[in-house]
Amino acid sequence: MSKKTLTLMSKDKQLFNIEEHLAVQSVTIRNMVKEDGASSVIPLPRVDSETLALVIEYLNRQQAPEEDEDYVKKFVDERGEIPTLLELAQAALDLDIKKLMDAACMKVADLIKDFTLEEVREALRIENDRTPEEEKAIRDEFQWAF
Amino acid sequence: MAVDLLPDELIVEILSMLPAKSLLRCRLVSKSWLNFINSTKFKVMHLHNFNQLNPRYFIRRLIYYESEEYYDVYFDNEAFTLDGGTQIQFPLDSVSVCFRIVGCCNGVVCLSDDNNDDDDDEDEEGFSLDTIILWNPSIRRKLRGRLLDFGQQFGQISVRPKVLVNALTADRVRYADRVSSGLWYDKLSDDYKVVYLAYHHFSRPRVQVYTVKTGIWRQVMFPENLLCYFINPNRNRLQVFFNGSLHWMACHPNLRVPHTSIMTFDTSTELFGEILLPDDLLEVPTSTMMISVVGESLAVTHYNNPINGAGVISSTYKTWVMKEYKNPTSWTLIYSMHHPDVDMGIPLQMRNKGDMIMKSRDENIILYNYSGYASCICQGYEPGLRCTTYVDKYQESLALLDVGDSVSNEEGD
Repeated sequence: MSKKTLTLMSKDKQLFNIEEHLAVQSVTIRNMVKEDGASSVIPLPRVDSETLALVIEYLNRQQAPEEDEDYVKKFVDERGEIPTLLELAQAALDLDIKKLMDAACMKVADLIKDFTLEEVREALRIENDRTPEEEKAIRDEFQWAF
Repeated sequence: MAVDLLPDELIVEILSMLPAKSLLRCRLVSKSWLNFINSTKFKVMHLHNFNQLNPRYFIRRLIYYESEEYYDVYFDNEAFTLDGGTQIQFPLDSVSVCFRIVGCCNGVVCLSDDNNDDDDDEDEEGFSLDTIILWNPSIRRKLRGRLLDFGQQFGQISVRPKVLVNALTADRVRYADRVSSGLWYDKLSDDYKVVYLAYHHFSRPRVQVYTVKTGIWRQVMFPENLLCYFINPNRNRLQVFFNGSLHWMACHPNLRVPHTSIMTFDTSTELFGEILLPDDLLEVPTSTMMISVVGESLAVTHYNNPINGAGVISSTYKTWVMKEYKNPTSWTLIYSMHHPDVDMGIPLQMRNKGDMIMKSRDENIILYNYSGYASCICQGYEPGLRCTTYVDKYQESLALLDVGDSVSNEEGD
């Protein structure tokens, strides 16, 4: 039996081929395949080509189930930059690949756990909407944690 | 330049994997983060996610000649290695030798200051039975529940420290005027609760339940039909929370009546009950038994260290699990090990797969495996004292964040 291949299209219109039985590790893709057979190209409008290449690399892994946990950890460890990890986590969220998303988030958490407030805001793209007075009141209560 | 916002789902996931200390900081990141991190929904999620990723234990030791309690955190890995990065400062001073740890729940440690040593009659310091302390080491927060009117409510039983010490010295009964307690988290009301049992002579305990949010104590009925209702406080490990109930090893208060069982307290109905032990353990003293959870079952471990005519101490360890909860015929012996010429030590805590944390005869804390393997974890230093070494799961959580006091504000208290 020949293996069926799917084509995924990134935000910047690049095409990637992947065998269907590997692609359906993504719950999102699995549901699409179920619904309409997904014969044509599957567009992923929020995932850029660099990130999609990573996701495909991950989906193509050939790991025994018992080694899989270690593999996922190592896989995200090697992409140690926060912006890359966030892109990867976001793609994994969209594609519903739970293991990959958990591992990427875990790695981000590990990287930012000792960050200062400003660094956390910058890394996770949050705008500061506090006045310095408000900040001080909360800070004073747990001075040791800062 | 406009920045793409991250999906909330992703932010929530990342936050739930952060240590409690980082979260205290992150509450300042923005207004919405503060509200979110303070929410019950997030606290529950964080407790689960973070601790599942970072399974750890803590060991409480007493360094007797320093009169200091030490709390060290260990990774729940094969070798049980020290987590040097997690430092716990113990914020309290005990009036007795050290605090008794009643139990732990969701990262909250429940302490009581009634830990006097039976064998030490010269202890003039006394001890205080009227205070329960809840302490969350990961966010350095504590809360004191004081039973101010307890003495009056209990008629002739006074729990003021001085009176109690006098009563004890005049009393022939070894375990008179003692208290036991248990701590649990009530999901429905999102609250921590403590059940508090006070004994006087052989009488049935008077029971009160303390609710953290309201700070109110209220009386709970104790049934007439339980034969084993005394929880010997001089045990290393007192409570196990399992299937919505607290469990303790319990015996008849008259220690001459050789009868032992597991006393239960259903935390939703607030009713006491009993679970019969395996036949082999029905008349064994509670001090030689340890209750725990193995896999998905309640478990009991018995430790026996007889000395023979030639002065050789042997030791035997046996662990039973209750395959079907509350069905005493389902007790099954799963582990058994006999050491003919050595006493390996006293079990303090059970890990899965037949691992136990124990205290050896030379006061070291060891990791013991039912295959017979043992290795030293650390030194204990508590010569002559029982029940000061305590081992339990260490969980980081935001519990008591909205109800407790900051530890640093009360230093020297």
